[in-house]
Amino acid sequence: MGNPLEITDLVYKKNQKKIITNLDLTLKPGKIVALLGENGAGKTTLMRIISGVAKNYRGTVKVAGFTKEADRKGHLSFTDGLTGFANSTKISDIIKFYQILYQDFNLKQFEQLREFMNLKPDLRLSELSKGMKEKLVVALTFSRRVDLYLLDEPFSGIDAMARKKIIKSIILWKQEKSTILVSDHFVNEIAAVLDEVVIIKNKTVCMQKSTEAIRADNQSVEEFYESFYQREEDE
Amino acid sequence: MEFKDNIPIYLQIKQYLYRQIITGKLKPGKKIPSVRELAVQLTVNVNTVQRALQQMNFEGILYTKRGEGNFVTEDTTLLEKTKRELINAELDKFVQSMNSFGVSDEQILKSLTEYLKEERK
Amino acid sequence: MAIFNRYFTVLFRLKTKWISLLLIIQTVASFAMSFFNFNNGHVYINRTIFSNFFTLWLTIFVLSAWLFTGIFYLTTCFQNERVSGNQTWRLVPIDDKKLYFDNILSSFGALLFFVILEIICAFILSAVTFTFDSQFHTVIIEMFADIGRHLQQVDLEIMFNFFGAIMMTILCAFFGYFIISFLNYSSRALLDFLPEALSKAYFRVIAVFVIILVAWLAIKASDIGLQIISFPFRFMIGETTGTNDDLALALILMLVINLLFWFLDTILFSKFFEAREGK
Repeated sequence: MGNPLEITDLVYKKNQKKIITNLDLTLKPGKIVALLGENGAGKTTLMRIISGVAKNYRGTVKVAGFTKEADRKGHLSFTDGLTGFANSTKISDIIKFYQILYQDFNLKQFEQLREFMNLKPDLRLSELSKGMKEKLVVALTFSRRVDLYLLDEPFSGIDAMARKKIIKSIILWKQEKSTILVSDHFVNEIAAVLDEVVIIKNKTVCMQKSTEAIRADNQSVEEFYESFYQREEDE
Repeated sequence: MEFKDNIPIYLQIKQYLYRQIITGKLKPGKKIPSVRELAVQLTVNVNTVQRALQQMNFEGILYTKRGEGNFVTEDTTLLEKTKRELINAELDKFVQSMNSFGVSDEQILKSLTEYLKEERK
Repeated sequence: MAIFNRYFTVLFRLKTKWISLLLIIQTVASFAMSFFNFNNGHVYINRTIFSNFFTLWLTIFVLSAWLFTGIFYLTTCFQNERVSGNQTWRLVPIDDKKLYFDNILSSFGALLFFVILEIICAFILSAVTFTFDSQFHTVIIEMFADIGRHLQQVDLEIMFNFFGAIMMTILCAFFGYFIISFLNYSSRALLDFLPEALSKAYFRVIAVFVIILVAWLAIKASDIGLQIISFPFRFMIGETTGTNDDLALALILMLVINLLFWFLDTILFSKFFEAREGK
């Protein structure tokens, strides 16, 4: 088995506009990595390409050594907004969907996560607040056993309590060898749990560094991240 | 527990555990919480906790029983030494900040004696 | 169970979700219509006039079955495209070629299921009418005797006609699915390719027209191509001689057209057609 993620020479265009150019990125097993960048920097697009739902890119994307899209989808778990379900769908029906279609879905683990997040199984999607829905999405994502977890801005627009729950669930339910890539445009709230940060700027990865190495230079992760975007403002 | 984000977290975890040991919250010869428990409790990365514990094992303040976890050493001289180091570190900080106010070493001693006499009756 | 079958199961459940509701609407609506037309409504079966309530109900039910099957067919078309462009469905670890085939096949399966249910409902209603209307009773018995007599004369030609017509209907159902997917995928692919200023929502409608126009011109350019492709359709509206040879030819051509569009759709779907962002 290879690294959880290996991307080489990735280029992605849409509407004749380059969104990602010459991007290389390798993630080692067992890490929690933040994918940082401004809104519209291409974080979501990158995650969609990795998970094989964005098409028409050039370059190679390997997830746990696999390049074929179907194999990649089987070896990663991506936070999906559950748009495939009608608003009247109950949580218990969503679980059935996952159980049938994902063979690595672990019901026991989901039940633990669901309890931890305080979600009742007979709730309908329309009855969930933004924070509750995000918690459900994260619970579903972590209920699969895969090599790579992709969390796309799980903290956007939710309250501090829900955020804490989600961060704690990341620590509690992460398996030793699996790697988590979590995107955000804000790093402060998760800095303490990160192994590495990956910063996206100018349509490519401009920096990948260990958080403890940043701190060893007497710099906070937030300052480090902001310095990348400040330079641009000064120019 | 809040961590400073511009100092390596594994160092701060070590400091935190030293304090727990010195203040007696973690007793000599007793098991400390597991890596994962500590990580959740402190909301930090498991790998970081691991690194801190590894160093403390190396220093001898903790020891590992295979399959059981980490235990606080019963070596009293080592514990004493650690306590002294911790006190020294605190004093170091105190003296440095006093010096930066332009207070000389003699004056520090005098002020401290007075302070303890007056304020802490 | 392989992922193909499991995916099929879930899709089939999705697409048959509204069946019971649709059948209830049909039953109630036909009941209401016969109720209001009871006094002045007459029904002819085998040149016999009926005025029994149940006979009227049965007739309206059977006639409206065509309409409701059409409606159900449209819902499956809609579901096909919704699933294709949805991130939740596209994230499932299944090969895109299989996913597309699963999608179409489950829609056809649901359609078949709906038709079978329609037949069962009509059968139950016939049984009721059979008991309540003595005139209907005798006419039906006569009719079956008639069919029995005809069955003895059934030769290969009639059989071929019969199954040929069924095959043609099935191929047409698939053709509808394939052509709608084709328009959806190709217009989307085109819009993703064009510069941003041109990729607004209403350009999609224009894109569909452009694709149809280009395809039509391309076929028109080669007169033989048009002859071939239009043959099954000309056959269906009765513009050919209507012999068995024509039916066979129309069936084969329709099959070829279907296979061609299936191939094109699969390519477009797996290489160009992205799921919408699901946030």
